Amino acid sequence: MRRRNSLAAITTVTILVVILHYIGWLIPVENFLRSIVNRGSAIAYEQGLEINKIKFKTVQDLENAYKDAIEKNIEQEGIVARIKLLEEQNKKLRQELNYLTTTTYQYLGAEIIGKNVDPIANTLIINRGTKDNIKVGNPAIAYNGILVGKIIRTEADTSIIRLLQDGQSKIAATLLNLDYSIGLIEGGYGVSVQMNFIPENEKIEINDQVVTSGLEEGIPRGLLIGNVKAVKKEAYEPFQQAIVKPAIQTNLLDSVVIITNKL
Amino acid sequence: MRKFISIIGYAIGIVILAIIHIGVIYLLPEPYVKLNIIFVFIVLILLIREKGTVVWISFFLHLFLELYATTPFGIILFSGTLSTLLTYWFYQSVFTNKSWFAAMAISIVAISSYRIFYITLLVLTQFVFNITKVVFTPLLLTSLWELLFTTLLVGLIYLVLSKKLRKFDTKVIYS
Repeated sequence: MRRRNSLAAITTVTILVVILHYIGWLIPVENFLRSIVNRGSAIAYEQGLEINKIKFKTVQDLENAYKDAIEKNIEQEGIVARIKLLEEQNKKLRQELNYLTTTTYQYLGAEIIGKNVDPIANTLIINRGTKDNIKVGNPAIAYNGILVGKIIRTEADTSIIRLLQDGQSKIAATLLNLDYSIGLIEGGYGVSVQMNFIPENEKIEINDQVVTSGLEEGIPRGLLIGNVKAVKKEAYEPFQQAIVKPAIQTNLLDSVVIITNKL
Repeated sequence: MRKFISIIGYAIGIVILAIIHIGVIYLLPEPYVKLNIIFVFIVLILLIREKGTVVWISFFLHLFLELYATTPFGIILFSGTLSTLLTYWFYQSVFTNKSWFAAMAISIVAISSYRIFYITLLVLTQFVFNITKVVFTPLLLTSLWELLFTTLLVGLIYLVLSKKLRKFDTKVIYS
């Protein structure tokens, strides 16, 4: 009898809280609770990043990392020069065609204050919300063009980003191969993501880059997602899959940029 | 007055635990990051205090988590609180002995029931409201990692505590 009573009491209170939440009467209480946790969590996250920073165990490790960085830098310089050249050409061609610019977005910086509330989900909590014009579906990027995830929940002062690796994450993507194959990047595969629905006859090379296709509302084309690490292909299936390693390690991030509405 | 101080203490504890869960646990590498620190504490509080208060502590802890969750509001709160109630009943009537394996068994009951309630509610919202899409393979895999690491940590902490706390010492007979 006592057990039945306690079960009834707990269930009633829980249902009541859920109803009050959906009616909107709990908003002031929720905002107050959030403001307490946000402050503590932001400090804890910042301290955590300090601990989590890459440390070298030996001088040799540091030297190797330095050599790698120099090699990558030389490679990058070449790429930057080519991009500049292409940008110039692109600008001239657009002028000649009298191209109308329609894809200008607004960018908003946000600080990460927490991560993964539920062990099952892969999410980030940021200190920007509806007050800053952030909406569900807005993409979050890092380092000037690497896609981190999409906004899936917004509150007045905070928002939740669903990372690419999350089991429910889905992003329309394009492979930078000869065919510019289109597919769907899906999470739920550990630290990697999988690009599905790539037509079976299109050729994919290891290390091909994957970028956003621009076919999704609010997500510009060309945001880097990652590189192909393996290809899964069966002769009897109409589609092949590519295992993609995301271009960014999200556990080292302390801030992101949210792309909001077009201007 | 004593009760008031106790409530304040619980409130501060709940906030600190929520902060640890949201802002610190991510530091662990994969797959250890799947550890459910909230249930580690719930099980330990249940073993130390042996009172039904643990259900209300669980309610408020899961309410904090719900504020940042990606699932429809209520799923974490409902599954978290009900699984703690179920675990409390199990502790009262089944796993009554004081040992590290009983502590681990309680942890298994807590996490398993939590995930069963959670997945059931998630599937229900998928069918009724079409809000979420449940992808079972990663969900079950993550739940297993969560169960493993949470149970191991509970067992480990219990072993350490049993050396320090007289309450956990099975050699002491209370009369």
